[in-house]
Amino acid sequence: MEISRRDFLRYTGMATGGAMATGLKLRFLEAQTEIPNPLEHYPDRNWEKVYRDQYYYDRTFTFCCVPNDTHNCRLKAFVRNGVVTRIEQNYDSHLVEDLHGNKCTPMWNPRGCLKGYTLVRRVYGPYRIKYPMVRKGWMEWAENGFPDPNTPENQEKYFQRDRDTWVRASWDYAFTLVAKGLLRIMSTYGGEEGAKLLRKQGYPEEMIEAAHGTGARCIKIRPGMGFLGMTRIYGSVVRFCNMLGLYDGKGGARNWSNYTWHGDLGPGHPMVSGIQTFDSDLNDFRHAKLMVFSGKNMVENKMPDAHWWIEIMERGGKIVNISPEYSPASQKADYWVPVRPGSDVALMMGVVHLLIKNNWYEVDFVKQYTDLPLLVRLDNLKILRAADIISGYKNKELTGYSKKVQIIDPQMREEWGDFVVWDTKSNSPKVITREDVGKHLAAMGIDPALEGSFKVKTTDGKEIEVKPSFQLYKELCAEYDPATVQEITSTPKEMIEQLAKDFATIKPAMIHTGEGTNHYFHCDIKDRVNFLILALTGNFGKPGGGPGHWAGNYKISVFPGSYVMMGEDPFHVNLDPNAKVEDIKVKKYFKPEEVCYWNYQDNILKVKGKSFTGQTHMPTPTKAIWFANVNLINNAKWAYEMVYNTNKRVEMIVAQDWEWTGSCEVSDIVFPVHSWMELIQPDFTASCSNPFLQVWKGGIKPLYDTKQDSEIYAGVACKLAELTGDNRYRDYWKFILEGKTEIYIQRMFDACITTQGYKADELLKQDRGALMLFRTYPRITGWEQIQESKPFYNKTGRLEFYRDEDEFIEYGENLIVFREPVEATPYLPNVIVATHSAIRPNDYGIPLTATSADERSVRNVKMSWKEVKKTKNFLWEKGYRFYCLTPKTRHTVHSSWSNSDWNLIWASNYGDPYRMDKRTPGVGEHQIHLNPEDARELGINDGDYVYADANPDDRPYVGWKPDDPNYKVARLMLRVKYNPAYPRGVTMMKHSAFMSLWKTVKAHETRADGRAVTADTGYQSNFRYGSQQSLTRGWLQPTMMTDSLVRKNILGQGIGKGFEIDVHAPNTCPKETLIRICKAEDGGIDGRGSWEPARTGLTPAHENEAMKNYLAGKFIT
Amino acid sequence: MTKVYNWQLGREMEYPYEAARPKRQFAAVFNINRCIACQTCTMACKSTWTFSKGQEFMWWNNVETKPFGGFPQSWDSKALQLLGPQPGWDAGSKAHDSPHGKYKGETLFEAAGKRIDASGQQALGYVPEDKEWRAPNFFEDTANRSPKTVNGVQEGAMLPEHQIFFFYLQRICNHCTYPACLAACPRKAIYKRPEDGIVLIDQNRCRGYRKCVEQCPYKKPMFNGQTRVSEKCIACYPRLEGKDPMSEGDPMVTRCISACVGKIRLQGWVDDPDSPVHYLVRKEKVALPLYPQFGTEPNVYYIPPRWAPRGYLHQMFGPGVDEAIAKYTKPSHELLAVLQLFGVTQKLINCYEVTADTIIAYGKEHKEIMRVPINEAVLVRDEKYLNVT
Repeated sequence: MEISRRDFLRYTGMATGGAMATGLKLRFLEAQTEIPNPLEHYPDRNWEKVYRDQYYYDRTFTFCCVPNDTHNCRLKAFVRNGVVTRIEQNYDSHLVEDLHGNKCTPMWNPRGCLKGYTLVRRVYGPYRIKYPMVRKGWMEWAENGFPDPNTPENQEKYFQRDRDTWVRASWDYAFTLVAKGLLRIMSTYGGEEGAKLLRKQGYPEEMIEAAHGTGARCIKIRPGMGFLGMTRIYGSVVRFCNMLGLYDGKGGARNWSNYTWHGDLGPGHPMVSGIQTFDSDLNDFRHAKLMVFSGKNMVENKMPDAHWWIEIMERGGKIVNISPEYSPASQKADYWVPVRPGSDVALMMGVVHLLIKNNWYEVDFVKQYTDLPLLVRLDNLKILRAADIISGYKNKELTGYSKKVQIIDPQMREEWGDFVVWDTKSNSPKVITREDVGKHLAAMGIDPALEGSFKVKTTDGKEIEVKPSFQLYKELCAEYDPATVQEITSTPKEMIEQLAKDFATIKPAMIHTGEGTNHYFHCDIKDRVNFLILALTGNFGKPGGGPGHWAGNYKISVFPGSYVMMGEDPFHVNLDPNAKVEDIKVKKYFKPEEVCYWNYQDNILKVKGKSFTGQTHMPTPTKAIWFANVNLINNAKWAYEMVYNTNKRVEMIVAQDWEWTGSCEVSDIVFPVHSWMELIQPDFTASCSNPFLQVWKGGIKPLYDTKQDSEIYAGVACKLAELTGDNRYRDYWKFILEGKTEIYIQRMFDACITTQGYKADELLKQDRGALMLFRTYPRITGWEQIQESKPFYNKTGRLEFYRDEDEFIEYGENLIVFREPVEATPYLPNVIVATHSAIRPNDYGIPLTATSADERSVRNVKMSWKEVKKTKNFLWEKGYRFYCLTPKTRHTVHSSWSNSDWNLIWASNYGDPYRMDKRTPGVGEHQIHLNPEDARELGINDGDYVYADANPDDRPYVGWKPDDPNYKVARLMLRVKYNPAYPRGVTMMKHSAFMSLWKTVKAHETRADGRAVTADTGYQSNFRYGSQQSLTRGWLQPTMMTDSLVRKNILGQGIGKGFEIDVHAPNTCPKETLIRICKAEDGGIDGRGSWEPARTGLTPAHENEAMKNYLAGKFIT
Repeated sequence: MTKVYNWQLGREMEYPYEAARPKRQFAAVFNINRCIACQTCTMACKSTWTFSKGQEFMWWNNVETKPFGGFPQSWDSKALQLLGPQPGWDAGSKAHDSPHGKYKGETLFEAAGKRIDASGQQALGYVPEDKEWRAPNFFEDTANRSPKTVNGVQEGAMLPEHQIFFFYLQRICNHCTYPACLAACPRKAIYKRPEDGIVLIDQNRCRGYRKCVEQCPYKKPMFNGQTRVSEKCIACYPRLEGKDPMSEGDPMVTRCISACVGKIRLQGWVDDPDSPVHYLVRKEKVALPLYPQFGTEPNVYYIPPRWAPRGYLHQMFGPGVDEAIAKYTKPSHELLAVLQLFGVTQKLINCYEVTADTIIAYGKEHKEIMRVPINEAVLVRDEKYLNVT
């Protein structure tokens, strides 16, 4: 007798109900078949069909999985009865080629990771947004004609975002509401009246001025990693911002940054090279012989491509991991270098010290490609210019790459001047230009000095002392000898010496950084010192060499012509579907802005009347926020400050997503969008870490009443046309409205050198990627600069290690120095640990006792290590003595997948599909890893619940009080996990889990099963109380807000200075926190006793004799 | 009990049935060095086989962090405790059919016959309680001990052995040559397929006595409370049978192996001298069985992690550890080439050919499946293209 698996399940299900199915009953009575040896023969194998049937599928299609990571993997979906039942990789890499027949290898197979495999749980899961939703209070506010939102009564009535209820709206009504909201903001905050109102609301004058009387400038739209959807997200968001220029003809909305605010940009990369980030395709990793990770966990991140570097252990390469804990990357390493959190720059300066002291550097490379031979004036700390010493000097005409490719603005070129080196052959100063790099310098027949002190006469007759910046570094680095660095960093000095020796002897070498070191206030300095090590050892522009900085997929610069969609002139829109790109008029009405200011209480950094936020960076007041493809508020550092304080001044918050997130929970209007498998119109993307260009769309019908993101902007635009009578709003979206997104794709392809020649429709049909057209495969940044002697995208054309802008000199960072973290340090926050006379910081009169975040951020004082180690951080003194590392988990992509059951079970050390402990917020929950000895001293057992608190001055939000019900929601409570991999004093909590909010706490406390899931919206929190962001706050770094830094523009070859979106702007730094931990509840089921496994004798710090023998390998004697 | 030959032990051992090796034996090599514990394998399996009611806790495939992690909790330290400390292998008796020498201790089958507390068991074992199947990822990334800090200087770690360590262990059913589950089943509802050596629990015949759950030392059979029978990894036999239209009738590797983005997994016939798996296990001997002392002759083989303390690794993978690590970290040309075959294709590789710069993989009927260069080339395009765009 045969039964199918489905029947089988049904019958046995009935059996448990007491009614035994007759068929089965009979089977129990069947005679046993004789089976003499089941190793050899089994008589009846027909049942095996059960699993063959379960495996069956009807059809397949491919699509791209495009969360906020860098891989955009093409996956194959298997469909049965119209439902995607499972997913597998497309295994197509060896078939991917470019227009010239270049192919890549099957070693890129397979792409993807666990998240792709559990997408079915999300797409068909319980958290989808099924139709447009509007918050009841906001809808009433709109329907009542937008009465003054700033009165206490109206705040109470209309703006209880976390406690309000939601109503379903038709698309038409939701579009109408958003269009009306936008019109209200543009009309209310435009002109002199608008400025007056903003002044009344307390915004700083600089921010009000930055709006230039244009209300649209107070509207902020953010594409979350828009690069992952070039038409539906990036293209449409910026296009929408640009379109709002139609309202007053002056300016459109502001588009918020993507990369910096996540804390992802390596802000020092443009400070050295002018280039946003100096990263390469990940298959280049396998060419490296020395692979150094500094705060980069490339085991848990970059998962489809981690094999490229792990494989070097099979190829004679050496792997070094620098991190506070024995991390996932440490296990793969030849050696793990421990370091005190936040002191990595000191460690690397120790390496520089040894490289210089032992002459372990490549003299020719240093002279030809870096600014280290350029002379620096010791009187004013500026780089000596030719015009300083030659009367009537006229800057040389630049005829090479500067003119042909980089198209340098003549005025800027004059500002930069020409530079001077000391020629040892003639023993005299010699002028060089930004084009005298590489072989061009060699051809000049001069030999620039790297060391020494020289006297030159300035044109006004003064004799001044000058030194090559190399000489300055040589002097400065004497302060970072191995013994001192060992004290600063707690790293064994033998390991510092080993690392230096390895850099000196093993080539090519790479240094990769990630969030580990990037989420500190001084993350720009860590980039600068890593570049210095690699420059001293000649590791740029060749296979397997160079720095890398890794985080999200941000690199819109690989589509330099994307302005044809984003910035098309709304007054002169080209409606010809066959238009050539040169006939499309581009005019920028949109204006980029950094999100960090909103995340800084919608404010700038201003101390004692001085703004440290440069004019080019200046934000405007935020009156509307609209975001797509991002969990903006949940992922905001200091999230409860945003929810309870900052957003009170924001009048409209619009969210677009396919699942209900914490951000949706505290928004006003929520638009549902298709998942990646449901996209009806095609889209495209590429990557900062692989060479694949992907065009794709979905393969199943949308499950719910959802739209493509781009259609939502188009829908609101149509309403604007209707409400204003201006049809240009509608025309601007013609091809989206007609379902012809391919036209925009093809326009962008035609406008980008990297994609010219590709046909969008062909790529869509071929079901696999194509190779992006870069100079090399793999793309190796700096290849042309080094191999072909072309200038970098900065003033000197060289890798710059000396910064002579006024800001850098004032802040004491003209040279690379180690600064203590601004908060996460036992010592005086932000102190410069160096005494060299060429460091002349300005403390702006702020006393060493000052404790406010603003003051700490701008207090520049220098001290020797001997002095520093006697200082104390006031927070340390108050008992805040744990560092809190907040890396990304492998089980989610930041907050995406945080509510997916299978992911949550694995992301949690306490995952349990049956929720035996009813306190667990879902099938898993968040935890903090703690050193067992630290935990024991605090009376905390493995598995206990604890409270974790940070600086009470401003966290979890400003103005909290112990009896405030919001404080109960915002104060972080979570489970402890003993993990000896973390040294004493260092804790770890993965970032971006779904935050607790008013209604999840209410559910947790009132539902019989204790789940923290909201009753109306179904939002699932990963916490009982609080969030990872309870411990974090916004910071603004002065060196990242200059108006003077010269850097390449984000798109194209042009060079500019000051703010540039995702290139030169503050980077959030969540690791700047010290925390205090105390026990809240016992860990056993429902709080009874300790967590059971901790009682078995088989867990860390509780090992019984047998377990000790197991750990020591004694079961084989 | 009868006597069967176990090559991993280099000797005969006791087993309830006569030896009967299948025509070909399913096997896989897992390279622990490359594993990133991403659990893509885990989700590939889950989404294919164990998504139904009654299977919520089941992870036929899982990756756990050693030494503390385990699914179910502490399965291996518990099994080792039951068996007790055992003498290792006699290295002097290495031969073709005893490549690692002769095991001097007792297997779980042999111990069961001698222990009063194991009455009725064919292999020493225990039934995990429900709560032990919870929290499959407890102790992820957890180290064996804390780094020491002396006078403010913190201890690091350096090859050849990290004294502070953890590594990832990837686990599916071992499709053992002498399965303890099969030996344990009183209904004889568990069998080994003669054509490929896959071990299956007959879902019709099983009555849910859970003897397989009790006696499999690897704890890979799992009891389904909904169907009230036990179930386990089936090595994705519909794929191996060439039933997936994607492969045009060619045998395909399992879902977990195909999914592995760390490129740590390779499937093949361990007893076919042409198979790359046979090469890694029997010729080059870089891949070793998991807890061979249990006596089941498991057929998933591991390239041991180069960094873990050797005593711990000997306990887990037997006496071949040092040679395997030495060869893996300085691979021969052929070994380096074979390492390139991991994760390049979803099809089953039957044999291969190595040239100076390429390895060619062949499948059914010697059809070429894939050519893989041993090194990645750097291609340079025309000067009009830019790397900094």
